[in-house]
Amino acid sequence: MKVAQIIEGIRLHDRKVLNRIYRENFPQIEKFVLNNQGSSDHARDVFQEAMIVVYRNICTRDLELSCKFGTYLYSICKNIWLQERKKQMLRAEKLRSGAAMLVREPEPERDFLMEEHRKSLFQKHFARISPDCQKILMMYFSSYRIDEIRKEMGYRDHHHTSDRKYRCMNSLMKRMMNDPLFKRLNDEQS
Amino acid sequence: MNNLDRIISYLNGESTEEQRRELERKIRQDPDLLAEFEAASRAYELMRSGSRAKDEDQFRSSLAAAMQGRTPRTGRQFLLPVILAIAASLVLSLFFLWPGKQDAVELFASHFHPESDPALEILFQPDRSPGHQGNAYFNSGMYPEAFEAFRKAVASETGRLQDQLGLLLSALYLEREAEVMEMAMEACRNNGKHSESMLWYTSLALIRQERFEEAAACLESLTILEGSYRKVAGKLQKALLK
Repeated sequence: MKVAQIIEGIRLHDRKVLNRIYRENFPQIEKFVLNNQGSSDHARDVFQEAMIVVYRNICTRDLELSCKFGTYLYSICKNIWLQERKKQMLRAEKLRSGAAMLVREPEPERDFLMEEHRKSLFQKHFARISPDCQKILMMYFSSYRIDEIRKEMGYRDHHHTSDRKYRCMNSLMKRMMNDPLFKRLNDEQS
Repeated sequence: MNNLDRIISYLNGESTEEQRRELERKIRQDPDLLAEFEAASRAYELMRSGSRAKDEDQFRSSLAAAMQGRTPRTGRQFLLPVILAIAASLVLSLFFLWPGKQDAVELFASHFHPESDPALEILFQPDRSPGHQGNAYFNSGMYPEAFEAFRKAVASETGRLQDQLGLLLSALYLEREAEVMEMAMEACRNNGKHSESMLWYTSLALIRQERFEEAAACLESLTILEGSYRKVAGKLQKALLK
């Protein structure tokens, strides 16, 4: 499978492509993790996290690889696992040396609550818009081109698709902006 | 094109150069428009990050499903080929009986609309009684606070049946239904007045947790009772059993 096909398959959540990536790359990744004090479960977690990183890179910029996809994925997995091992070793070192437990600065409670409120606000109003609008917005903000959205939604032309996209955005934004919680969050942020 | 559409176009990066300059000029001159632009920018960012997060959740589901497909051969699997084949065929037969994870997400999303559920009107009434602030938080969309308030109410002596329903609904909004499933299942069996709504939303919670058999069983009573959920419960049960 060519790199461009792989990237496109990941972008479109194509399960056949994802399964093929898993079958072809996981054994090597699992071997690396097992050889570096990890388990098969760790390897699965590392693989999943690496694929999320790849997916985000694909969605936020046009990913162009100068190497094989497997090499790229392997290097991400390696970095993730080595970082995790480093953290584990640091924690173990602190315990052995009898140093005080690393006390994490508690996250400001207010910021955490504000973030939870923002997420709830979005989820509440996102759930209220039509399934079509939900789909259009998810695709648009994951860098689907308008033509791809048009095909996926079965719309007749580019103009109609663009118009629907604006209506969905307008609808969701108005709902959120008219929510008293949004006004409250807005005032606290100003 | 109204102001919000112009702002959306600007934030999407889809305005022409002229439209962009025009909007920026108006924003500089009009404090009200500036305030509208700032609020819209925040809403836009929330929409963007929230939509991306939802999309990423779907990607995770697709990836998890793909990883449950044909697994890579390792040394251990070569040792037990026959047993694995039998296990795979059993798993596959179950897979075809019940919907998959993606269906669970879609089934839940297409049926979870409490704001337009007439049976829940009482939950949206303002309630100023001490120890019962759950309704107020819920109505304001403050689900973390509503969750805690309903949880305290349920645990106290003055807890009411609607507090259990409020707790379940808040949990569903926050995707924390696993924390209240025991209460929901128990309340389903014992409630009188609110048993229908509890049955309905408990079924949806079970669907999201991919406990399809239990969800279908929970819906059974609703398909018999002459209530507002009868028709939709019947259709949903059929979809689960398809």
